[in-house]
Amino acid sequence: MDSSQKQPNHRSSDNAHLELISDNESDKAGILYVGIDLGTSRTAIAASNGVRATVASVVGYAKDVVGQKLFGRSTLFGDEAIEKRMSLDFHRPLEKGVLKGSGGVEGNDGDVRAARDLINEIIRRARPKKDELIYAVIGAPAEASMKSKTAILEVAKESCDSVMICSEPFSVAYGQEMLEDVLVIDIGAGTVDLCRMHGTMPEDADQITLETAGDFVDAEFASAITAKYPDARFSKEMLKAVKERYGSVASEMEPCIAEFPINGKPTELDLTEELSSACRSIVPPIVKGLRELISTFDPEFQDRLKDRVLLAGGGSQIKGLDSAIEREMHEQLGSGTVLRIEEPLYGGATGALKIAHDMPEEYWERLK
Amino acid sequence: MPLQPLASLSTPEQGLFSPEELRSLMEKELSRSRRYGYEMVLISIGVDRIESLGDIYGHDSKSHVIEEVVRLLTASTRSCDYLGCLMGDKILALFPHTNEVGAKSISKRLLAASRELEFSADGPQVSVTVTVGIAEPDKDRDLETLITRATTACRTGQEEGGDCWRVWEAPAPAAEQSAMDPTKMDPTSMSALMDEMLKAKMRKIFESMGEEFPDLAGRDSEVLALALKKMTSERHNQDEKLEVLERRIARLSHNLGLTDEQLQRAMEMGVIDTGIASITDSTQGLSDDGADHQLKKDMMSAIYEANKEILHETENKQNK
Repeated sequence: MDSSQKQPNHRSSDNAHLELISDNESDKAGILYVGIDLGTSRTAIAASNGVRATVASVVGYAKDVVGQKLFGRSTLFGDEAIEKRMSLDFHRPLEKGVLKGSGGVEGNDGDVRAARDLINEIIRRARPKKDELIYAVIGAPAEASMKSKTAILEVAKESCDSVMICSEPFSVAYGQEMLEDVLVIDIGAGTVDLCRMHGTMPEDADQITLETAGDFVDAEFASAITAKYPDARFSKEMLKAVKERYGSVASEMEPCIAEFPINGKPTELDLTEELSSACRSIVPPIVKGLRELISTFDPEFQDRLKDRVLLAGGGSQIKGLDSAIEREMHEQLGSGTVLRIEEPLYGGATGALKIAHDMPEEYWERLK
Repeated sequence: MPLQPLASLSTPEQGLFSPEELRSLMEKELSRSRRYGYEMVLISIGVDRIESLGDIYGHDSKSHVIEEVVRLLTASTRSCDYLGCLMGDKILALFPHTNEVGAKSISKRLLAASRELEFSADGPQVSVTVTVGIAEPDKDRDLETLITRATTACRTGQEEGGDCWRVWEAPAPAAEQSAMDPTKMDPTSMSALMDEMLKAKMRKIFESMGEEFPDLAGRDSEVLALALKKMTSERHNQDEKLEVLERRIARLSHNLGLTDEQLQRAMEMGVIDTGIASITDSTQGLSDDGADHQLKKDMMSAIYEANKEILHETENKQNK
């Protein structure tokens, strides 16, 4: 028997980085409010003109005139810079959520320049009008030092008319309008930020920053692969791509089969167990941090806090992570409910935008 | 009758689920939905008069037709959206995070696509149609009950002539209970439930979305019923329910960057995960009353003061 039919329409996936949201976010003419999540791995921006964009937090400079001619410009950003990194002076200006060269993280002038250019680029992608003032709120890790915040402010001031720094997990909570009895877990590449919200501005005691984040998972993954396949060769980007595609802590996860060269020959490797184990490695520190924040909270409201845990950040996209954290919380703390935010990549940026929009005009003027 | 995995759902790399694994996965999904309170449906797809087809054209023809229907199912949805299997001649597909409205939409697409199928058998052209039975789980989320409901609905549709979808309904519901269930209400009964102002405002919201997409305007009573059904919190009065719904629609259309067409599909499919913040009833919204306004003001003031300190530190550094 043969068959024939009209082909059904297939919906294609949307890979665009630029997305239009509301067109009435700002009713104040001449000012573009932006919220920026300056992440170790990815930088995201949400603007009051409705534009949102994201770019990998990498900058590459053409090494010479030949390179400039080849690329058509002297500076590349994001995925384009990653692709051509062998021909570029390549920089990842952020580490553990802060600018290199500040906050105890080593860096050089090139990193500072790269950070400046990265912020400039992400604002450019928000398509500000020529005459618009740019008022920006930038998220920083919960326990970022004064030195780190100062460094961010210095590089951002060149692209913005007025800029403020705000705690990243707080921005996430503010964006979700969850300001009371909420625990935020913001999982990035460099840091995991935990923040306890209780109807006032969070203080230092309400916030914890962990370094067992996305990069930590990558390192664990790399170690495990090397232990099992000593001759396998892979780059950080290759690992990241595999993690983003297959990353899971679920007991029934999709098999992770990746192709890495072994002695020059592309070879399919089953990395399921290694990846699962690496992804699971961030759960205990997170629950330990949650325990600390919960146990030091008013005992009358601890249960309520446990039932409102908000999971955000790029790392929250690891499949089954919310269930895994919940399970650990049930075992160690008696109960727990974890909610994921709708858009993990933009949670910080849209929250920062909301803060920017709600900030009284006079405060912006005074900080110019 | 044992469940058999749908071959077309799995890639060679993934391998097939065994019947035991498939049943286990379905049980787990049901358990998860019970725990988190999200919706799901099971649909049972039967090729109409398939026994006669087999009798006339041989057993292989039945398999071939079923394979084509599975292909239609895969083409109509994303394979990650459901767990599928064969049970005898019926195709079962479990859709987590999908409600009745979404299942109807899938069914309509399947019916339309199956009508386009044509098979040739050494001469005559043979057309097939399918019937889809839709069932939602009971409060215990029992898999066997769910399968029985879906296959019963499918069989009912086939007995009524086929080429249709049927939703399982409990036998002889009380008239009073049906009247109170918004998902079973017709628009006239719906308008009795809501006051005129609420209705007008909701119509305005859906009309603004439906201007370019007339289909949505025609379905607004179903979507509205679905949305209202989700608002089970007793603390919500009518105005609060409207505010929550409007905020949810606003979030879906703006914050998620969905086009109106995608929004329509998302609402029909019910793919909004109730484990996601800002969609659930537990979202705390800041209203315009004094207390929340003051909280926001205090927070902005605190952020400003902290940044004043950072700026001061920056100026000190520059002056050194």
